[in-house]
Amino acid sequence: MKNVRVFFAKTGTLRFVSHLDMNRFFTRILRKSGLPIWYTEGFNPHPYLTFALPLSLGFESQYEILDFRLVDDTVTFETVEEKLTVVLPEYIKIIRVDEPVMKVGKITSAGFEIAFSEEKIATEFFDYLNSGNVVIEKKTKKGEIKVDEVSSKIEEKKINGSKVSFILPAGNDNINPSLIVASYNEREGKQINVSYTRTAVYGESRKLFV
Amino acid sequence: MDNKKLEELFLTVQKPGRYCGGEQGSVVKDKEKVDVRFAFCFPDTYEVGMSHLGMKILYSQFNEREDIWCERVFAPWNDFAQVMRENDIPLFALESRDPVKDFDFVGFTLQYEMSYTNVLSMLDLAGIPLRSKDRKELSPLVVAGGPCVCNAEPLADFIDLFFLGEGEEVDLEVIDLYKECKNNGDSKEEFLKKASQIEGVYVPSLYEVKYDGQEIKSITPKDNAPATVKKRIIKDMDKSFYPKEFVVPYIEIVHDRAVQEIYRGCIRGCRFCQAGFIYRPVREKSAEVISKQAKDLCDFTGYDEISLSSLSTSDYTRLEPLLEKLLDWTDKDKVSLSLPSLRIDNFSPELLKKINHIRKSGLTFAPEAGTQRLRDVINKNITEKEILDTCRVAFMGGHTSVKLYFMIGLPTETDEDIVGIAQLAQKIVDMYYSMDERPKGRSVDVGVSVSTFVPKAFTPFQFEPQITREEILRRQSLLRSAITTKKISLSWHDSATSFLEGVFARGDRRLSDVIETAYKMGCVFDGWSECFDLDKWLCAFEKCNINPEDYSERKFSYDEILPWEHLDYAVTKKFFIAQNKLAKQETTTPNCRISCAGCGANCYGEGVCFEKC
Repeated sequence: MKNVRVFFAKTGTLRFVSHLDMNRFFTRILRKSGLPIWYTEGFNPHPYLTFALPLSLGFESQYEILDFRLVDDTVTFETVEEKLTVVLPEYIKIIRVDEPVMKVGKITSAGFEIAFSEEKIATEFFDYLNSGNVVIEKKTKKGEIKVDEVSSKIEEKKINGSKVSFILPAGNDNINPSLIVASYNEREGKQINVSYTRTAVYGESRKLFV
Repeated sequence: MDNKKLEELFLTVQKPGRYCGGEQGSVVKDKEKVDVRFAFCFPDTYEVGMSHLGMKILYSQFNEREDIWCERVFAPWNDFAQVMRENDIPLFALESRDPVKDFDFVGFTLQYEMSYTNVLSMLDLAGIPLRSKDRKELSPLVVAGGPCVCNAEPLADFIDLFFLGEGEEVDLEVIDLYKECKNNGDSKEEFLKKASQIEGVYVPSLYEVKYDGQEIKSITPKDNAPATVKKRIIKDMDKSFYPKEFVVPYIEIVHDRAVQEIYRGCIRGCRFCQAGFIYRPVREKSAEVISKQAKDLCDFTGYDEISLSSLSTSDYTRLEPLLEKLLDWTDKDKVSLSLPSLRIDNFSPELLKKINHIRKSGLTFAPEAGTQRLRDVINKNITEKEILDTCRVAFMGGHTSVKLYFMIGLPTETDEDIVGIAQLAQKIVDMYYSMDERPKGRSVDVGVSVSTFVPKAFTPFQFEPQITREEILRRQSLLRSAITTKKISLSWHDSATSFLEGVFARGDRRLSDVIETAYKMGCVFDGWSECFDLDKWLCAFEKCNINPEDYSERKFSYDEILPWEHLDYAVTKKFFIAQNKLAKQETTTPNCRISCAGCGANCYGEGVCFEKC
């Protein structure tokens, strides 16, 4: 058995495909690829696949991670990349295929980029991030609303024209950047439209997750 | 509207995957290089419409032609419809995102009566005038096909042209005629007159209907339109077009699997069932063709499940050899096979063993009525012993739950028949506990699902009234009180919906006004319980001075002119009358393979009518 980790970018139309739908989508893609996929041995055998970190609906990503297994150890990572590329749609681009190094449970944080329609709004938003008072509302599993000041958790804030980027906790403790934009909208009484891209996923000591 | 703005709006609604397009297998062409653009509209949500086999067949077949570009359109759910209206976004096709009103054809498939307001809503969102007479230009032509066309009179004022029967050939003939007329600069009227000469084409505006009270006085064709329009069928199923590719949705749809058609029509002749008559005669595909087509589909789509499609899977003449052939590769490819629509009387232990080998899923059977007397009336041709034996086989195979479909309100039904449903379910429970071979330590669950009988055009019961809404409720509560164990779980089909279906299923053109009024009052997605509003509908009937019960609860006489009298689905009215009389005498009719009942479907010279025994 051979463990395989595929790193890919997910853009365009594919951002309308939810995490659960991606699971079913990749099941079909793996079947179509003709690769010797390892199936679970339960009552309803199915290809075993895991996405390292779910991506919100509507987000693009430059760094998605998918793990699965092959039954045949002799298949090379190049072959995997070739066979997958043939059957993948244009909005999924494989970056790299390799063996998994880090454990999925060790993910600590993720980089995001938010694109605004104007530089002015981006600047105002950037100032908000630095205001020391970024209060987000999170719904708990029980449906209660939890209020949290998260300024200290927003790291490596940068602005570049109409784009703002930063790093947020991910993995065990998650912050969704749309919650920050929502809190900004609420404070300003605005309804700005932005687009989100996840740019990277990090492991321990902020090393790129590989 | 630019794509970026549109896609931002997708993200403001539920399930943007319904609207974004770009799925694997979807066909994109250069619009400058095609002659005819066809918007294939399914008047329900993406998830429902994308599950429909007919659309998949015609979509692929149209797109095989270089000069045609067929695209898909579904009814936007209420949230997105509102966003579209607020932002002046006209209804667009998924592949090109071009407005539907710029297409040559806007084609609807009419699968159920409760989708009629969605047809209007889609036209309205597209910015296309609702009524045929208000659309003066040759295009867009609003056309429709599907089973409801056998009585689409309630939509006659909105649709320019109907296709009767199977569309694979006649649709393309009409498209070719359109191309010719477009080049000649013909008017819409000229095109429609010419089209009416093609067999299987019904142009409602070329028929004048006169009324006499509740009944129809006359249906008169004009401009040389044929007195009766005959449905089209595909004669050789092995040579008929079948797609190698399906559009594979990103989001989960209702039937999220590959579907393989195995035959058309039904040999049975259950007297309430429209599908059992309008798709006659039975024509099978060969096992070789089925297996090959199914394999191609799985290879292309990556689906790990394939479902065999027909009206009654176990009536396929060579089912066991077919399963052998399929299992040859499905096992190896880890594809699971599902066999819906199994009948009770030919459900063998061998068959069960094969299904078990594949995947354990629920078992569903349709006795339809609770007593033998009533099953004979409806010509169901199954006995209580067969029902019990089948359940026994299923239990021996390790199943602990079965689901049974019944109908209430069938012609001649008495309280005894209603209580009979509960008694039959109880007998199944009792049998389970009397079996030594039953799965150990597990309880049994007998699901009883009950819908309300709706008299349909082109059935022996087309003359029969539907029971009143009060009576539906009384019979439902009678059944509820007759069930005394938790081992039987009871579920209902909404009676208000059945009532409205009953009105439209035997409706005439006078109902066009009601549909438009109801739509304008906000009725859409009537097939969805969260949207359906009976009070609004009743108000619409009142505004139009039409009493809905005049349609649903009226007994149509044998000799009156039926609203669909000018449509010919091969099975004759004479046969339906004879069958109606036999029903009243509680006399059954053997199925097509046992003996020919002389329904009329042999006129095509094909199918089961000419099978060698």
